[in-house]
Amino acid sequence: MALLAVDKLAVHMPSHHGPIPLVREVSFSIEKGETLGIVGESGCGKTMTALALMGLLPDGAIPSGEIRFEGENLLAQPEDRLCKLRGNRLAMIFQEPMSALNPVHTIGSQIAESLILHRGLYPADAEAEAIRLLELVRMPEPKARLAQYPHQLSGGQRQRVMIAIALACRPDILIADEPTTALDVTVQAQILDLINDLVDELGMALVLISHDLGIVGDITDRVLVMYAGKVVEAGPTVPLFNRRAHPYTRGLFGALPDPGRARGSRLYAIPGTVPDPWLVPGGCAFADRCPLVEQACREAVPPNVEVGPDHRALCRRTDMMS
Amino acid sequence: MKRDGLIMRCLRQRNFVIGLILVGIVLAAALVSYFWTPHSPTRINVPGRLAPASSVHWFGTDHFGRDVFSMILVGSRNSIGVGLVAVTIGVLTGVALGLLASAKRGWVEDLIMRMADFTFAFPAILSAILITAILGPSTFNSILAIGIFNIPVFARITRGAANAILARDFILAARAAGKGRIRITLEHVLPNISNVLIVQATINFALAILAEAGLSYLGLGTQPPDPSWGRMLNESQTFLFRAPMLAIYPGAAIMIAVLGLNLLGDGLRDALDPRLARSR
Repeated sequence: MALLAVDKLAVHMPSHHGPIPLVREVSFSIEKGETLGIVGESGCGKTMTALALMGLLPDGAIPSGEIRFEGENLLAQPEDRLCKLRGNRLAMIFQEPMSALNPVHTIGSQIAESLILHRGLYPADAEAEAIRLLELVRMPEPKARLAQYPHQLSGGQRQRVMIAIALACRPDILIADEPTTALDVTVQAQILDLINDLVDELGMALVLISHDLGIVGDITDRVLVMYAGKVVEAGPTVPLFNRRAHPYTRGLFGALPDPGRARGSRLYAIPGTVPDPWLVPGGCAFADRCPLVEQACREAVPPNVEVGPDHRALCRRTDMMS
Repeated sequence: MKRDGLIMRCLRQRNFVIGLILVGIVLAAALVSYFWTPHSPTRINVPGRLAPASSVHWFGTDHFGRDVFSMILVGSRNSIGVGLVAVTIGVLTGVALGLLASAKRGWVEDLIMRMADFTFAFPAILSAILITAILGPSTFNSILAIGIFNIPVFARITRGAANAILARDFILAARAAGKGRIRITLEHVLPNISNVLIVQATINFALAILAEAGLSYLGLGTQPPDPSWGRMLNESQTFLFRAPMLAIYPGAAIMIAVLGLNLLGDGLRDALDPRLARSR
């Protein structure tokens, strides 16, 4: 049994146009110690998928399908059961470390809260454990940090604190939603190394959400490429990065700057824009932006083609993409 | 921004300092009245009635020959006491209801907020008169009446501020750490909205003093022989031409207390919310 198995997850947001699909038919599974990357541009449903895993969808959003954590369907669990899992078995770190810490509480008390809540530690023990966690995330002078407030820390340090809080209860799954987007490049590398080392060290599963292919390629075992709420390509990282079976994946790679590129040449940009979720066309959602589009693409939902071992792409023209 | 600079930031606000001095005078008067008053505020001396200010009776005497200065001193206790208790009732109940509304959402929020709207639909002083008229005039009932009309004020402001905090990232992070709604409300929302509440409580304290004076003036508040500023105003109106100072002393006392608290609240708001101060 997989640690986490997501089956046909969909998220709809009601509106006066009727329910808007934000996430559609997302399926994947992840084992202990495995790392999964989810890539795609803004608004493709990456964050909604992550929030659905945590049971933290915004008010009104309606999830459907199944999210099985050790066989238990999280979507069917009551809120108090989810509270016991969140922060304990499932943990999440966010994009914006500057605003993800409460400005009125000290770092120490924010880390200790989780330890007291889930592990039932006494405040004195929680403090010692908080110091140990700050050491784990390689925070300089961990002891002095406990009494500091979030505004006294830099962005990278705050993200380390967020990671320390996430790791407080040794979660089985860590969901990192663009954990380095708001940080400087040098700090980015440090934080990613840290997450990577901690995943190895603690044997957690990692779901890394990013729009940055470089980051995802470096640390993940498997990758999902999402577009307009759907997984358009899924496979092991290295074959997927080499094969790029879906035209959208190609487009994403084309948009990466390459140091060997001729000066002055333009980066490739995928033409057009992401369709609004309530206007997603009937056939392939990418049809209007795809260089290989043919009439059939617009008429029917594309097949999920196996393009390699454990590697699938949602495209009827994968033969053109090898 | 350093946290320990709060007192200094307050003291740099001119409004705050003036407010502090005025409120300090009123508090000092109340405190002193417990130990010492020039005369007993209830001792009647009809032959010496309506005496002008002198070294014996600093503010003169009223139509029963009671010492006005002593009555003003003792009356401050009444104003402060009623205001404090009434605002406390408003804060405790209103904040609890407001937090409940923002934590529960849905029909609970609708119900609480519509009830607040309903209470707001009546002018505050009118509903206070209504309540004291039903329950009978007394200090306790005027506290109750003023306290009740404070509840929706705090329920609304709490719910509004709490909803703004609930939309912040750190709330999502707290939920991701497995904290339940009640815990998040108490540990994360309340400390973050406390400055708004402190400012509102200060300003409502002033309104409560004004309301108490209003009720006492109408004879619905504190009953004789306990001195109260509002009733002193009422009693003085018969002698407005013979002894105008009788109306001016309690009026000035009310003004000092209300102005002081308002300035204090304004200064606190500017000190606690630097963004607002700069935009002025």
